[in-house]
Amino acid sequence: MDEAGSHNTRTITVQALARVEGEGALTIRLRDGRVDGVELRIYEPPRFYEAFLRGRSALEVPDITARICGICPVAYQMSSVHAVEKIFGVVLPPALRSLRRLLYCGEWIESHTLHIYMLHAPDFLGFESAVAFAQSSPASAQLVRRALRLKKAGNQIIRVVGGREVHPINVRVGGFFRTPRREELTALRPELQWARDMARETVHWAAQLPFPDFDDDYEFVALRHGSEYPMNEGRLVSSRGLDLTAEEYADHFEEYQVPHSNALQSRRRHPANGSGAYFAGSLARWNLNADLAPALVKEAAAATGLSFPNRNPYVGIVARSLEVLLACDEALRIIEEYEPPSKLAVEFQPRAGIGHAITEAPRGILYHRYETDAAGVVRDAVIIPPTSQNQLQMEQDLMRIAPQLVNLPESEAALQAERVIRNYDPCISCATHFLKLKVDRR
Amino acid sequence: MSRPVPIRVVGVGSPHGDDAVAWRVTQAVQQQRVWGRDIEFHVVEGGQRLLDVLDGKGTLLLIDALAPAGSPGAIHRFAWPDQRIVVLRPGSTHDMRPAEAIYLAEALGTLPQRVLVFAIEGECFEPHRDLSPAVAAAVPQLTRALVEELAAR
Repeated sequence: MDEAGSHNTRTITVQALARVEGEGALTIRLRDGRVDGVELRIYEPPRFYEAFLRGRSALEVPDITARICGICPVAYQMSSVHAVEKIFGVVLPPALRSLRRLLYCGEWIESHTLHIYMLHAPDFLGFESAVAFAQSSPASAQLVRRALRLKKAGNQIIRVVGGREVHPINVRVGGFFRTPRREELTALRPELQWARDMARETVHWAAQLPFPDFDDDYEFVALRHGSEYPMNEGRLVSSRGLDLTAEEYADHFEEYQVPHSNALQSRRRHPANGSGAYFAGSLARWNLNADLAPALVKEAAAATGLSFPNRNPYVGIVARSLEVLLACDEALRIIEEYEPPSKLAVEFQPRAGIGHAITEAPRGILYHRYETDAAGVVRDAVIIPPTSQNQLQMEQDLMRIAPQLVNLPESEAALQAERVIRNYDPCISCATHFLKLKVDRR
Repeated sequence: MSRPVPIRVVGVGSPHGDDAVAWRVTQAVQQQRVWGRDIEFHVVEGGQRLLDVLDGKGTLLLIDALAPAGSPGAIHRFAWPDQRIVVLRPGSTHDMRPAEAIYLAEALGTLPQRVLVFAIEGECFEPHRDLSPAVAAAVPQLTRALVEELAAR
């Protein structure tokens, strides 16, 4: 962090925002003590995935897009494979559909647990890092050990169903290249039963954390499915009445370039009020879908004493914890009911068309659109990751908190700004891509 | 019969440029001879995976590339704890640094009793590049040093 300026101008720079996935920077401009602008600057270079998908067979898309992220590869694989399958008219039988949901449960468990304990909890507990927290007492070390074990339970699902823990390889257009034997899944049950108990403890623990007062009239956006908590399917709904299909997404949302960021931002096309910012991710999902959660997750939510729907983004850590519990419970249910599918994949013929899909990445909605030619070669690809969807909302939250930073010591100002960002569990590498804070005071 | 106390040789890196040097050395050591079942070899991409292979027992021989400092191919040997092994600001869990993983493993009680870190100073970490000549030339030297270390256990 550096600082320069006169009596009415001042610049503060944090060289590295910690505990977020990826690299970026933050500038807060203050003029005579008032907030003049906030820029979430994402300077990682663009990775051009959409460009190099063009000209590739659509059959390769799930494997290529799974390479976008090491924490949430399943999300990219799921949104892409479902979009391509819509083009080719593939309808999955229930057994294959359930396996894909199980794969997603694995990702929610590992990704959410990492964020809750390794990235986010130190903010509430007053530690610089999970390492410092683990060093603080034997009880803290025990908690982190158990957290890593919980995370590993999610990784094991991805390994067994997806073929390996990171960048899974078993999913293909039409189904799977390989499906697990029944005994491979039942072998996961004891650890998942432990994980479900640990996840319930996590909900209780997270709900006791001290949450700053913060509240806003957010537009929460998430999928909603008729009969289950959303992961792979559903209509896109919002807390302000939006209700549409993935095909209608582009009519209501737009990506646009801002000079200060290599990642495109996303906003509502016709916002009823304000900037078009909206809020995606665990808190949005839980606010819009809590009624669809299994009974034991609803009971855990009620036992927190927190009110839901909840408009405090800091409470997102509780929503994430509830989703870990949900994913553990759902994984156990799917494993219990699992019968190896008779066919690994359904047959289809590549054809020309346009396919859209939205799935719920751990960080929020992930939209993919592909256009193919008659041979099934990708002619166009659009990928809008959750961090791009949340980027404008993060800036809006920073605008709100900025006046409180004016008179704080530099290190404290930076920490408070970083906390706002971490509420959204941004994966900047996915969006393209970590953070520095610069407060420009004039 | 209880399992022997393991020695774990872990190379941390990636396929990109000189970041691949630890993987090359780990694989070269593994191919030297038929090691006993008390020696495990792992190539991992970052601190998160390093944590996964540690259980507080035995010896860890950790191999990693060092950021360029003017002497590409230079080999450094550290015995934990060493003040020169520092943690930068905590970053993302995508790429937890090996040093951060070591400190976390120590706090969690999963760091082996004996930890030796072997590091080779790199020159170029660009994607799709092979090892730079000076770093490639250091691979046999570090491989020999590690084989001697294992033989003397």
